[in-house]
Amino acid sequence: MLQADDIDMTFVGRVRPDVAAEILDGEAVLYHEGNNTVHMLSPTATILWECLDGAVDLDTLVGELSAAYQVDREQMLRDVVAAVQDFGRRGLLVGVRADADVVASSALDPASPGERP
Amino acid sequence: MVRVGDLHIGVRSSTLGVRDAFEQALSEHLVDDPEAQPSYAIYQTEVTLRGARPRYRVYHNCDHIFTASSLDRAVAVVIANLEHHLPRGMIPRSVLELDVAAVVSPSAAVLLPWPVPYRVPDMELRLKRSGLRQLEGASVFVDVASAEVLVPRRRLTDRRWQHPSDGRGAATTPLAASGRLRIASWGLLRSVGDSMPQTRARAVWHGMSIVFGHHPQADNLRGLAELVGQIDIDAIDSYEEAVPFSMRWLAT
Repeated sequence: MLQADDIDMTFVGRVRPDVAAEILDGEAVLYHEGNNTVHMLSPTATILWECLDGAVDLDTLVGELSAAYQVDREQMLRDVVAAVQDFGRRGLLVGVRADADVVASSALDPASPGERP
Repeated sequence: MVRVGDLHIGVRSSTLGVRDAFEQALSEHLVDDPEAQPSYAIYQTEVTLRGARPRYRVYHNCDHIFTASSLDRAVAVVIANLEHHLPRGMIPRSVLELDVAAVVSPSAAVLLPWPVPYRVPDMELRLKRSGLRQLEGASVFVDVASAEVLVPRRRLTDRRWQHPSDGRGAATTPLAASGRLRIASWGLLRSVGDSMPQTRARAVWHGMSIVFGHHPQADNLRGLAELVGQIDIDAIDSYEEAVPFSMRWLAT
């Protein structure tokens, strides 16, 4: 199992199959059934999220995205690696160990909302 | 004590008049149970100005949940909250229960975060002047397929009542009529310094923390996304004490 900090440009990212996603006006809301967490992604992170299909490494992905969006490749690579590391810490990627503190901060409280006392 | 399904739930009254009104409304459900503790309370406020009418503050345990301008409404609010304790049958997948307040006109509804009804002074009177009302229940059922609020059929009592102390002539029906109301908007609180727009995604993200667990969370996520695709999302500043704009729109 990879640590999120070890993710680099050679990493091939794939989203976990137990993460449900809804994309509204370019922003994704994710529910991770395995650890009962909810996440909201920015429009930029949502584009990246949709690209993590387990087919290409981040370096290749950045090459495609930087050409499409006409932005500096090196800067984009740094941003993409940081964003994918963040996905990994949240436990959203196959083969990447989640950070317990990050997961806890996004967890739905099983008692709230719940039954009235 | 009131028998609600298998439960005995106590309701504390601050005056004999309040107690009489409550017992009149729910007479067939009253039981003696010295073991049961009061979970709800209705307190009549002191009137200090000549000609002023008292308000009725409704509490659930220690939480102030409603301020009613009439005793009828206060009793109605307690009844609607007591019904929350009744066992529920199967809830269709398209129906979500949200921990929000709803303000309704005869044909439409807006969803509001819970702090708003407590924070706006004399909210009920101000709504009434505009032909609006806050739904009495502790939560709101919504049909995400049609983007409608489902106002439930009363299950404890559908009796009409009015206590003479309110003295407003003909009896009214203080509980909202059951049926479906189109949802016009959903207001989300925006904290001080937050310049981010209240997007549909934010509403869904927030909604996941206030949806009751009748269905798997992945289904709730899909349902919330379907709902917000059909309604407007409003930002309500957390410090605002005015009636939110969306409700003013509802009144037109």
